[in-house]
Amino acid sequence: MSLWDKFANTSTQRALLICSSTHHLLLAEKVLLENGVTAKVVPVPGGLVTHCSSGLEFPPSQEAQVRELIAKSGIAHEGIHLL
Amino acid sequence: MGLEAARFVLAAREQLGELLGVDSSSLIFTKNTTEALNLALFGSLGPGSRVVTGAMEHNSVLRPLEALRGRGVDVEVLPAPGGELDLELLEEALKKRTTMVVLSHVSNVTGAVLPLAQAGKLAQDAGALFLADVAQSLGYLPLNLSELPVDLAAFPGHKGLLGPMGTGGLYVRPGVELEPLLYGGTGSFSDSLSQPQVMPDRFEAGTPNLPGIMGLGAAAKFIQERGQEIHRSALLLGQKFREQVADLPQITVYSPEQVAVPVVSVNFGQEASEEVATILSEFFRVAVRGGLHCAPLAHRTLGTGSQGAVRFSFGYGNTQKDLEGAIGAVQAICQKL
Repeated sequence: MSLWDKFANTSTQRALLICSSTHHLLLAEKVLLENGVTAKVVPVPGGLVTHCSSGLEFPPSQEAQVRELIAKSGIAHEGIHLL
Repeated sequence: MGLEAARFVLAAREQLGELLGVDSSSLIFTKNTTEALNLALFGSLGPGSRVVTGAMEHNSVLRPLEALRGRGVDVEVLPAPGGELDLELLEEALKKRTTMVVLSHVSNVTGAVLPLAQAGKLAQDAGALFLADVAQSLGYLPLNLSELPVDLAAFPGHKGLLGPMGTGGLYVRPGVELEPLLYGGTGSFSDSLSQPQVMPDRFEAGTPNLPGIMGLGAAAKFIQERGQEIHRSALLLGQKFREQVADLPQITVYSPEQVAVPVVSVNFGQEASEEVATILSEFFRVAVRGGLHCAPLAHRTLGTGSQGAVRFSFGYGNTQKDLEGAIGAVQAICQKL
């Protein structure tokens, strides 16, 4: 269990969208929240190679919707990871 | 109206000049330290030039230098054993004909103070320009630029000066030749298609950031009137914080034992620094900075190239209660490791 999980008490599977910059991260947060996705900015766990230290956590059940929204909004991202 | 605005800009420039011990005409306003550094570097280096810097520098120096390397500039980055500047290495590097030495006064990662006066003297004695990045020291440490061997000095408005974000400046010692970064209208010599030579117009093309500059002037006045005393409390908080967290076995401290500016960088075991920073923010309301602090070579030097570090910075508004909250949060996180 990661240090973050010890504080956040997360035990269920999470999906993490990693964006290419803070601009795109916050743009994605805005777009996802506006479209009913439960998104939250969280730290990217150690071990995931990325240039951005924060990602957007959301329920894996909404992955298809998230992929569609970020593609439509032109959000630059590095990938979606299941944790 | 335009003249009235220009009077505010002059007042701010004079206030800063008084604080730095230099003539106001030698100060150029920029939007931040990065722009000031870019102006100094691109304005004085070109194909065939040689520049010496150090591994503790910020990307605001390293990235322009990398771009200049691609344009034919010889760039030497000195190693920084233990995060310090080794003056013998600098002296050795200066045996080659060098155009400029650029170094920060204080590390933004550890808060360690570099020997600015000695480095500047070595550079000038070797015929090189000395560019000082005083982003972390101005306001905290006494800094009379006319008494230091400094040709150019880049500074921010929002750190030790307590001014607005998005302001900064560059000191250019009279006689130093520099090419502008921006060309355009200055409200002077308008019948000429060439950029004026007169300072500070030569380097301030376009509409100035009037609200920001007025804020910076007010901040400089505030500091000038109260002196460095205003940062004494933050320094004491930083010192106490360092002493208390250094005793925790899970904590590694990277900042010097004697805190000269109120910055203390640490790591919690092997935990990713960004993760710890977010935990401190989300669960303890303690705002810190994790990651590499835009200084990748400094972190490689410290052995934290992949982990980064958690940087605690104490400021003018912080209190004893904030210190206790920060120490309590550190202890609580250590208990979960």
